[in-house]
Amino acid sequence: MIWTVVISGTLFGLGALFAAIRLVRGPTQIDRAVALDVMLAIVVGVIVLTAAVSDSSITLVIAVVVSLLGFIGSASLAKLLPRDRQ
Amino acid sequence: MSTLDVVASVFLVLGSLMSLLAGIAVLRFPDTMSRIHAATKPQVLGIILLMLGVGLRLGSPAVIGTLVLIVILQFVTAPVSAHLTVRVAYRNAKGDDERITEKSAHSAADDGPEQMIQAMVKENTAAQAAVDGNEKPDPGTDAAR
Repeated sequence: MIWTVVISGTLFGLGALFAAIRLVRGPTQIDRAVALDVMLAIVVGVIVLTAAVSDSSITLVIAVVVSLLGFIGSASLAKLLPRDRQ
Repeated sequence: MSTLDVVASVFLVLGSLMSLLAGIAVLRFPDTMSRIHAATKPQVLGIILLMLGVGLRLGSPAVIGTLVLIVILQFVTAPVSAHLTVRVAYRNAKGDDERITEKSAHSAADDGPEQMIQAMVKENTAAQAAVDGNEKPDPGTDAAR
C-alpha cells in the first residue's frame, strides 16, 4: 500500500504543479478558473486517497464538501468575471 | 496484501493518472476552449475510478453511500460548470456583447453536411494563407548580402 501512496501522490502532485503553472501563466482569467477547477478536483482525489489508505470513512465527508465548493467556485467565477474587451 | 487490495490499488493509481492527464492538458493545449475540454473530461472518470478503489478497500454500506453521493454530485455539477465556463470563453473569443440569440449562434453545421464541409474548407484555406503570409523570407547567404 505504500507504493500506491507514493505513485498516486506523485501523479497528483505533478498534475497540481502543471495546473499551478497554468494558473500563473494563463493569458485570460478563464484559463485561471479552469486551472483552479483542476486543482480542486486533485484535492478531492487526494482526500479520497487518504481515506482509502488510512481506512477511515469519516474523511470522505470532506470530499463531498470540497467537490460542492469547487462547483460553486467555478460557477461563480464564470458568472462574475468581467468580459474581456479586445 | 490480498487480491482486493491489489485491485483497489490499481484503481487508485488509474484515478490519479486521470488527474495527471488533466494537468498536462491544461498546461500544454494551445487554446482556452481546448483546455476546458481536456480538463473537465478526465475529472469525472478519475473520480469514478478513485471511488471504485476506495469502495473496494472500505466495504461498509455507509461508505458506499457516500461514494455514490460524490459520483452523482460530480455527474450533475461537472457539465454545468463546464458549460458556464465555455460560454464565457466563447463570448470572449467572439468579442460581442449581445445576447446569444438563435441568429448569432447560427453555425454552418445547422445548414447541413455540405455547408459544413464548405465552411471547414474555407477556414482551412484561410488559415493556410495566414500561415504562408506570416512566414518570413529566408535570410540571404553571404554572397547575396
